[in-house]
Amino acid sequence: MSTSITTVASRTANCMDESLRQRLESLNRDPMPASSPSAVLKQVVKAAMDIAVPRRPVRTPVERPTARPATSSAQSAAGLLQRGDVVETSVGQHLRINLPLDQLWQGGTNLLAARQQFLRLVTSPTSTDDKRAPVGVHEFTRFIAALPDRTLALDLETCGLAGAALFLIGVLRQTAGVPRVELLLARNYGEEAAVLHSLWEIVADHDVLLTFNGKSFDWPMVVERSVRHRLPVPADRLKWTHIDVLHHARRRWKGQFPNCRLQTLERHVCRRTREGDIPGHAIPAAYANYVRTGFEREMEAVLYHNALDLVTLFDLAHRLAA
Amino acid sequence: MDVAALLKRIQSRADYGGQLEHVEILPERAGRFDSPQAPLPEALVRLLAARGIEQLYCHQVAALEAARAGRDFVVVTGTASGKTLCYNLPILEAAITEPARALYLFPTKALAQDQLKGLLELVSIDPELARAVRPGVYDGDTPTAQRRRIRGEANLVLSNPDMLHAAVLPYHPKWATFFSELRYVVVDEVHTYRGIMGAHVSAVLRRLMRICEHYGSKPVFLAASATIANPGELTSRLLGREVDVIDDDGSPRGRKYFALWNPSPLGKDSLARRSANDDAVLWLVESLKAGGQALAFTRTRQAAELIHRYTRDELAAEHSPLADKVRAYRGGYLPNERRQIEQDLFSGNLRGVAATNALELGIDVGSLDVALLVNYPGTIASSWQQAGRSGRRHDESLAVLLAGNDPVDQYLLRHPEYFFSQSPEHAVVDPDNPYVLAKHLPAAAFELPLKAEGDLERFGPLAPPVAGALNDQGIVVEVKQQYYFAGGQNPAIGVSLRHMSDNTFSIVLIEGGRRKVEGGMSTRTPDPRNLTPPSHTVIANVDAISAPELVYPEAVYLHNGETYLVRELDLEGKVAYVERREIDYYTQAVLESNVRITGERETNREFPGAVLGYGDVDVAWQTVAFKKIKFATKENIGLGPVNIPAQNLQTTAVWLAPDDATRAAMKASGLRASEGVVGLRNLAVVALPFVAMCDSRDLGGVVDSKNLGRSTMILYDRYPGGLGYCERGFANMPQLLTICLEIVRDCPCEEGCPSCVGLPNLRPAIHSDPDLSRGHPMPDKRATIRLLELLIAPAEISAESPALSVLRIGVDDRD
Repeated sequence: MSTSITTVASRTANCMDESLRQRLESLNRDPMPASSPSAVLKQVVKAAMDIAVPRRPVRTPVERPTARPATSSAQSAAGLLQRGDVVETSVGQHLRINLPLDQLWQGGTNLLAARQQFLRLVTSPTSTDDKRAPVGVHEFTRFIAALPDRTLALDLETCGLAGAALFLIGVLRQTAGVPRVELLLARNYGEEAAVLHSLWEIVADHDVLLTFNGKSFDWPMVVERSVRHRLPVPADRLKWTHIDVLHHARRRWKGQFPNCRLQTLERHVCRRTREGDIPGHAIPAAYANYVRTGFEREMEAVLYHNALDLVTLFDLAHRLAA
Repeated sequence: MDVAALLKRIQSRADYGGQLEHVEILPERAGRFDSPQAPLPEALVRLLAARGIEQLYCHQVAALEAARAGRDFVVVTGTASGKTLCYNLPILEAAITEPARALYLFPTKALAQDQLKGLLELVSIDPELARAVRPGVYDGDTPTAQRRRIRGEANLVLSNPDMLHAAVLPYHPKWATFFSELRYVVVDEVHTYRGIMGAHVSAVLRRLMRICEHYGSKPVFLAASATIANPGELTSRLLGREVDVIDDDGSPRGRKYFALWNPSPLGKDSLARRSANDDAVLWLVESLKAGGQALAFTRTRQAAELIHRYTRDELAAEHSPLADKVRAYRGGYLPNERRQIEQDLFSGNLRGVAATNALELGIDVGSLDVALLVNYPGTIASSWQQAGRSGRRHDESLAVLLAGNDPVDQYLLRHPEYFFSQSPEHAVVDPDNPYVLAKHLPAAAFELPLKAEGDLERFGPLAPPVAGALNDQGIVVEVKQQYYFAGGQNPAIGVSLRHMSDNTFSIVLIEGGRRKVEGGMSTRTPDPRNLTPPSHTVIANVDAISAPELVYPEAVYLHNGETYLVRELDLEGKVAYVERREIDYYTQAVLESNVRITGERETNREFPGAVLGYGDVDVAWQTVAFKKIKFATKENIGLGPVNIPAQNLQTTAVWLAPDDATRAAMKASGLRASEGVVGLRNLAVVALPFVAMCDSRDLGGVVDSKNLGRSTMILYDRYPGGLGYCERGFANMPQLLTICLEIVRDCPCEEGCPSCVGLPNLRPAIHSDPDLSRGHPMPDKRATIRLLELLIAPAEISAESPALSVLRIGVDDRD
């Protein structure tokens, strides 16, 4: 009669999949396995072959635009996984995909070089001492000082919120002034430690970190997951200059746009649009599906999504600094 | 207090008519002391001396030495024997001398608060200790702003298994330092972790051990238990490793009287007796007037309120100043109010309290002079725990069992030797329940990948097949022989360790009545988390399950002996609005419950003499009406309808219905099959735990003829979705019936007793007045035996089944 009083626990319990229940029933009644469970295990594995039903319908199709322009994400993203190289670390392997900035943002390299030159020109030594400077100006002074090669932009893709695993760390940095995106990807849940390990190696060469909402999400997540894998977290890296572009963007463009999400700013401030991008909420499922089935198309859309986010983040930082 | 004088005074009352049927005297005993092999740190010795402790009892030293040597232990000594010090000594010693941390697990939040208070008081006298010992409570009530500080700074963290399960282990990197320095884990009140809760807690503790290992620590477990038959076995099953049992109680004990009191018969009909509640009032008043401090334990919350009210009124009528020194104490009172009562009881300001078993667990209220057990608490273990609340180290004390009208109570009164020689109950826990594992292995994999080799085994032999099944369902994913959790949401959320979720309703007082609530409540600021307007104050809460039994519209809600009228019950918002009204009646919910078989999963067609099935059931209970009962006279002065929806539990069940041939055979012997089914149900609820490794409280049992059109025993798991207990009963029905027959046949009683056909786990509704519910008749023992004989093939009766030897081992242990 009533469902309003039904507890959360009961809903979860009653959601138990019928085939799982049947398996548990047989385990519940069987005499306890003796010292070697392998016989039972084999039996179970064999039974599993007959009834392998994925629990969640994870195959959410990529949103596709009706008219497909030449620069559609789906097309640009195709083959990204194939372009990756396997990185060996002391804690395992992972995939790394290098993307020159121009492939993601045509003419971006030259534009950034010009902007950086401009930023250096306008930053006179006196302005850093200005006590009346708005909050955050000091941060951007350091950002400019660290340009080009000692600034790092970072964006994560994860399996969920607090406590969940991360599977992709995208970074954008400049080497000898040439900007490129590097995507560090865990091809399965077991490669997360290696991805983090590679990140810490990259981090060592930088003084300023750029993120979008990274003060509350990305960076604590990196630290927590590293602690979880018992990777050494260098104490000085926790105190480097971390510029959360979201905070600055909120101050600068407060009330001007419908919201302050990265893609909103991308459209209104950077005046770029995306076609066929995978929506953020579909990303965890896309990854779970990729791990389970090796289905690449959605995963490549995720990679491309992350790379574009980094470009916009980097672009916004330059605009805010100016 | 002079107990003999009090007994004499009771016996010289005009209304005394021999109700005191038995007085057992438990002799005093002297304390036995010991000294630690290596002396305690200077600061700790100073601290003990400041508390008047010059010497340690031998059990405290045994515990200290076991902990120092890194051996897990469980300490099982009497109430007020200094059990807390058994685990606090090694913890304080370690905290003073090195960066060692400790985790305390208590079954309730109230106990953690109580311990926090105790620890803070203990170290407050010494600044050096106060710096070294930094306790903090981390539970669902801890404000978010304080959580980070407690994680980082507290070296003694007080929490509960539910919090550890859902909010600590899944986020262990935040606790990395804490876990790497974790030296001791206290598991207090370990006897409560049996059955469903025990199976869950054993999985949580294994998850804890994994995380500790990950951060390089290997904590020693220090457990404490109330008296049960098998504390060592229970603890070692929970932990998955052997433990030392420390049960040589060295504390001194004054002489203790244990009296059995049978309320006098009413009129000529000697079957009905005066209410035990009324006699509890008499005892409270006399005990208080004799200068004693007394506690009356009731089986229901309503009874606690009523006894408090009547006692207060009677003392007030005599203009006794003691009238203000009586309180009620029960679940549902807000923490602050409970703390205040505990404090006042401890300090001696309060002289009498009527309480439910909420006060049975180890909250420190000091030791009192008199403990009144109003009706038999249902188990021997509870009886001794409640009786243990009275007991001075050097002075005399008294416990009185006031029998109710129930046949079980009356049996105990007729057979005091049974009551005093019966050993406490066994606590059963099954760490290998596949349903429970299926809930905890995803959580473990979320915390750290579960390695197929050298890791998964710690969850027992069923863990590999369960993990395999979870892998096939896509809940976990195997990569290189490690299982990873496949989702992004903490899977521990939504897995309750207890029968039911701990959702609560708030009881909100609408101001505008004549006065505010008394008893220190009016100065309290409303809880900011409850978004009630200023004119509304939360005065209590009630769990969601029993809210419809307590605060239905027009109910009279009793709080601290005062009457409140319920205006509205908001099921969505989980709030009941009450207003203060002086009313001369209270209300009693009329409950209706039924069990409906919703899906048959399996039937055993070969089963001889009965229909035997297993499947899904829907257990529903509902308040359909209420009665108005006048205070004191208990006249029924009216009836009103209640229109609130039923509550449901969807679970799994086993059912058994004697077939026509069996019923005919029963009839031929002049016996009623339905009587036999009731007796069988009562036996099966006690016997199934031996087959299914659960606790009687985890099972529900009804006899019903609506579902199958004939008298049917239905047993169900009291956990949403079921945990496989009744399913094991279905698969092992012959064995279950054999145990039942063994119990009832070997029982020396003539016509049935609580040890055989008479002890169902029929909990009274906690918000009811026991005086208004009818006692349950003792089912016919002969009919039960005959039914069992018909259902069990003759060959199987004599055969020695493995379950019987289990049972025998169990019985032998009881000494």
